[in-house]
Amino acid sequence: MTPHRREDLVRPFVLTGGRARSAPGAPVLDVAAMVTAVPGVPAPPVQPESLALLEQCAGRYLSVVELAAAIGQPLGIARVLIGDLLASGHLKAATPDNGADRIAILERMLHGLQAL
Amino acid sequence: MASRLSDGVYVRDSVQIAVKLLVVGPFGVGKTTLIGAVSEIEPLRTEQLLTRAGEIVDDLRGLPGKNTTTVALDFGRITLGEDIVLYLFGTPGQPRFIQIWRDVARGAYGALVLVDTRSLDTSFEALGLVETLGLPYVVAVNAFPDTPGYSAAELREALDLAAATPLITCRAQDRESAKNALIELVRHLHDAYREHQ
Ligand SMILES: Nc1nc2c(ncn2[C@@H]2O[C@H](COP(=O)(O)OP(=O)(O)OP(=O)(O)O)[C@@H](O)[C@H]2O)c(=O)[nH]1
Ligand SMILES: [Mg+2]
Repeated sequence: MTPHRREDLVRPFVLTGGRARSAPGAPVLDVAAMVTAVPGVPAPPVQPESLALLEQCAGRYLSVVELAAAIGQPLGIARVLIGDLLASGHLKAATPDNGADRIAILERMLHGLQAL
Repeated sequence: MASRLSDGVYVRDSVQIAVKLLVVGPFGVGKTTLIGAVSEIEPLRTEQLLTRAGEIVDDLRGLPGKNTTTVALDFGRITLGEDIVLYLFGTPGQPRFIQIWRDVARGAYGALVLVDTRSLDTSFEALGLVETLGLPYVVAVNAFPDTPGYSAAELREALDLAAATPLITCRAQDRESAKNALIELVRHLHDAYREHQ
């Protein structure tokens, strides 16, 4: 877990144009936000990393953090790319469980863990 | 192609709810080992960029590489039902990583604090951080072969634990033991959230 110096920031910089958030003031995507590719949207992205993101979550939901690991980019960079794809409609996010009942979810988690 | 629970790689199509739990503790305490013991995927690793001052990098302009560090964030996943997936994040316990903690802990249900009784002072830092974030937690002593045999009372005293905070032991390498630690945590969270209703 020792942090090391990072001298290779040029590539991520190129990928996101220097941003690691989609727009100033835009909500930061949760690391566990679940996103999926929307098929048939015109004008697919040209960046290989963005195409890789779409490929990874075609036909299924995958979390932001898993996508970052899958394409081998730092979390902040992956978030920007995912944010752009959400904005362009190539990705959509699962409806967050804002109103969900934590107690009920914990009960279901408990049963799920016990059944493992 | 539909994703299947059994393929262990993708999340089921029907999963829409992702719950986050943190596994926190000092360097080398066994966070990644515990996550790997229960995760349905090999623990994955992602990097977070931080400035030397500990801020999450959100604009790379004007930041020469030498001003930036990366911190590895390990995580695993357990599908717990048709529509619920649990993410376990192994976060380093050092206070200078507080911004990463805040980011990952947003919306998290709680934390399993792994302590190493061979170095209680570093475990203390992790406890302090979880308290700062306001996350409910369970403390688990990861038992290494050379772990000194303190009594539960001695450990509670040394770690200054509140009476309501569960203290358990676990073996991070053992799937059943790691699973039971998570069950204890979820039970405690259930009680904690019910009290606050
Ligand atoms: N004997 C024994 N060794 C363990 C146990 N848990 C972890 N280890 C070993 O301790 C070392 C550190 O474990 P990790 O799981 O990498 O610890 P960590 O907390 O993720 O460490 P960092 O990410 O570097 O902070 C590894 O060599 C593990 O194999 C355990 O329960 N018993
Ligand atoms: Mg680790």
